[in-house]
Amino acid sequence: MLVLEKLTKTFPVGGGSVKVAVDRVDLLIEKGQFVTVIGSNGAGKSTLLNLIGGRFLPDRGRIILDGVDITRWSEHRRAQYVGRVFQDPLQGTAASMTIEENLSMAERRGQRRTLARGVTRAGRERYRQLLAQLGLGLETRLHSEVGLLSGGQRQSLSLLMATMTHPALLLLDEHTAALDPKTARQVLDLTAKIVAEYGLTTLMVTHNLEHALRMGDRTIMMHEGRIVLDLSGPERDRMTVQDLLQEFSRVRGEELLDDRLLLN
Amino acid sequence: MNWYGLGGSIEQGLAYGVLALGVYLTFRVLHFADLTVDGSFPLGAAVAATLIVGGTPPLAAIAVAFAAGMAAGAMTGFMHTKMRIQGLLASILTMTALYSVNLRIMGRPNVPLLRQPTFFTNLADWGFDHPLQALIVFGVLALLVKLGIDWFLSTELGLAIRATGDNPAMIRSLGVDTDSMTVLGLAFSNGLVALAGAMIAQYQGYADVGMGLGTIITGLASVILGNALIKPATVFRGTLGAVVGAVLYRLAIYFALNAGFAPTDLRIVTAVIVILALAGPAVKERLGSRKVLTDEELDAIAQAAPGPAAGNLPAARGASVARAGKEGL
Repeated sequence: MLVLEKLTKTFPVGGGSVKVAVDRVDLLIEKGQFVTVIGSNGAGKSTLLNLIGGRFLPDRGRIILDGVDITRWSEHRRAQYVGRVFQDPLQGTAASMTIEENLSMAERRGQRRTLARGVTRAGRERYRQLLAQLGLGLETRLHSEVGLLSGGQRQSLSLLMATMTHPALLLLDEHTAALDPKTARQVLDLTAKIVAEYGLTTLMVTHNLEHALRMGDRTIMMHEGRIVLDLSGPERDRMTVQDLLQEFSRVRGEELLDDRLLLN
Repeated sequence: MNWYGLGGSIEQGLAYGVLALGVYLTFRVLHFADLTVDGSFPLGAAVAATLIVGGTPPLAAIAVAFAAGMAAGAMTGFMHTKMRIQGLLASILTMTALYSVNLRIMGRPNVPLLRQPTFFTNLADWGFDHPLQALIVFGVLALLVKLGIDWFLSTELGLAIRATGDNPAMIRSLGVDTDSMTVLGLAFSNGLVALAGAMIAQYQGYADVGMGLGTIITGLASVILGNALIKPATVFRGTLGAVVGAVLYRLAIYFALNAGFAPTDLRIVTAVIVILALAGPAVKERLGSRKVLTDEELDAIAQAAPGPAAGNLPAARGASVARAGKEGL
């Protein structure tokens, strides 16, 4: 279970002024819940994920994961409990290292690194089975450098690496946005399968409203650093992309007009 | 050209092989241009020579030299990771400071090891006395260090260090403290460089405060030359390349001297070698881009490769193109 209490993050924007990227966000996510996060650019979605993932520390508020206050934990320390996949497929893997080396590093998430052999024979067998689930033929390419893989393959591998230790929390930050539609769909299907199989508590940021409604069991919309819409249950089931768009304009109100004016 | 000179070059090349392996660790694995080595190489020499003159057994002196080098590397790492000083600058600072430290250790600019026991005289006393003694010692040492690095970089810890150089954000997200890995890598590297310094001081019979000048260039030239010949696709090949490159580099200098260059010209010869090796890829690209592919060539390429479905394209940095394909808000 993830609990956010009054989580706040500000950034200086030059000229001495400050932007409130995440504004006193309260959120409770039950264990095993799959939450999709939507919102326009600058709404604070990525900042929220980065706060939870520990890339930077909040200015206020608390982050409690499974009863443990991790607010002040360093990024690498909380990585023990938090798996992440980023938008850029290059970010989740080490390009100059082989598939099996990448997987072996992910398998020791949060553990002390020792002088024990990195890739063991038993490990190799486990990786082969895991990779076979992807259906990408990667199980025969354990010795291949990850840099040789396509974006979709790398992102699938990143997803595997983020989830193989069944972390208490999975953070997906637009992890299909950099992929072409067909590959994005494959990675999303894989995401749904893995999350369901391991029962992972998941937060997924997406720009795609259809994905936001189709995936998971709860959708929150952010605007100007706050959660402005929280959908779940039958209410969410009835939602269509069109409804969501409408809801979105209602929330944004005048600003949407401003944007249009700017665009014109 | 003579066999004696050639043999001596190979001997020296192998001696500097350990140095090149140290530089390989920072330059290739951590992607860190570490100038600390210009200070840690004479540091190793100074520590070993001073200890030996003071009566310490050579082997113990070498061990202490290694530890001193590790401390120097850790210092650079600490400045870089915890004080947020740019890597190159942090290493220059350590290097500069080490000049004074080395003078302090030796108490004078030069410590001769004449008529002192060294690792080499020890071996002779133990019954290993041979005209090729130094060549064999340095060859075995370079091989052992090379295999040691190969092993180390395949351990859990080693993989984490490699990932720190490759993609720090990724390995941090897997729970590794990249700061510690950087410090560890720099310490290990400079320990090896100091070890090379300690061995070479005993080999040449003195430690000198000025012997560190250009160490980084020697190391880089070796790594780059070696990897131009042996593509560093794996760690095994990378470390092999470093040792081979160190020998090649010494041979190149030997031939340059034979070709009539004065010893005073050596630095510019070295610089030119490194520049040429570093510029290689850019020059190749420039020459390559002049070639225009014909329709036939393109067809041949298209036939050889499976259909260019978008999903099979290699991942490209940045996501702007693909972003166009999704429903926007």
